[in-house]
Amino acid sequence: MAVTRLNYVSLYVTDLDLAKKHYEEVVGLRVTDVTKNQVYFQSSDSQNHHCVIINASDRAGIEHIGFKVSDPSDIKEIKLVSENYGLETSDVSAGEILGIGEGVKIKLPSGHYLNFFYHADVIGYANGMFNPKSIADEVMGVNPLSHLDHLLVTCEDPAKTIKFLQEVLDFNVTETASAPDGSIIAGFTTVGNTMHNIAFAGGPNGGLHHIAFYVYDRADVIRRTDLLKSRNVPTMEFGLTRHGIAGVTTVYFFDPSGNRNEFQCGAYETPGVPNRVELVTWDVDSLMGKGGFYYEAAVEPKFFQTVS
Amino acid sequence: MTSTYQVTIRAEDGQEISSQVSTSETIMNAFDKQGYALHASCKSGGCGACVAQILTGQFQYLLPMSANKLERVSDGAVFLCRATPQSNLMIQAPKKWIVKKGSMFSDALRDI
Repeated sequence: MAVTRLNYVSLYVTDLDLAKKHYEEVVGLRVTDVTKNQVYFQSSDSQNHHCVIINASDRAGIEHIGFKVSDPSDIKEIKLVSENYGLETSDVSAGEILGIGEGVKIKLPSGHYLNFFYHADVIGYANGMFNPKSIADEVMGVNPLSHLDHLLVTCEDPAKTIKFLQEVLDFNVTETASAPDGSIIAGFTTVGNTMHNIAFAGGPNGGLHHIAFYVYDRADVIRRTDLLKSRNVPTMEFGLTRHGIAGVTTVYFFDPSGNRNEFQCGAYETPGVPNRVELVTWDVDSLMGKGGFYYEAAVEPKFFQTVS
Repeated sequence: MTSTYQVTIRAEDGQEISSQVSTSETIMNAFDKQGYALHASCKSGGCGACVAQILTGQFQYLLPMSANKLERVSDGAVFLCRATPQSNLMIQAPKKWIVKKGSMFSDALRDI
């Protein structure tokens, strides 16, 4: 069994029209499908049907997260091992999520739902799949971005969920932060060669801290920060800045429902044998100092206190 | 019909600021125009950073407010980035505002 990729996140939004405008014109994604209550988006340089779904709702936050597996038989296996672990599961039929084949949805101890599937429709690059031109056009005035990179979610006991993902689903844990008593207060997990696909930190169960988009170069993070400011998009007080952890140049901002987004560039990669990358650890002082925000060497309390 | 009400915000230290707030705008916007940046983060009704407590008066939400946040607070809580007054209001704010205008340096800088 192998979980191979973070494929998409599905978000709740309180105003579908405003959210559509945001993910198109501020983030720079292309719309790939629309239903009465949903809009699907993909970046210019990803081939699958979508990387973000927004769902009209009475709330903000995360609906579920989609991961692709390497073989159709993995779906049954994930259902079995998750149920053996005591987690709730439910079957997802093909097409229930547009562009996605059958899968199994599991509820993590953290309260988040993950959908594991094998098939995703291929819609191709924005520039096509035959002799594509190498420079992508702007999407609604914003540079195209590379891909959905990761998300940070919150829960009461990060260690419990990280342990399940590592020991049962073979996710690689790249970095953790520990309290003085040794308990894990935050952890970064990946299924690829990036530093993280899904990270967990303390907070309410089922909470969403942010979803992050990878942009092509560090200078584009600066250009995008300029655009965010000129368009009056709410941003974090810190940022443009750099994270000590991962080393990315980063800016945080909010969609019109209050879901936090991030543009980032420069994360280190973890090539090598999957699941054999040695763990990096942090203590609280470093996490809340240069590990968190490298330039400011402090973390604005609101950064961890506010989640959707 | 648009009406206007007097909204007063009291900080923990007892200091108060007031503004006339129209029912066509949010309390946060009205104070922002007066030069007061209230404690907030997403300013979009999703994160909960701007939560405060109603001492007296009525309000309603002018814009969508995430049920995730409404379900987690007790009666009398108000999220200032989305709320508009329905009467004169007295509000207790757990976090102090920042004065943006009228001084050489902002309050944020003065604390350093």
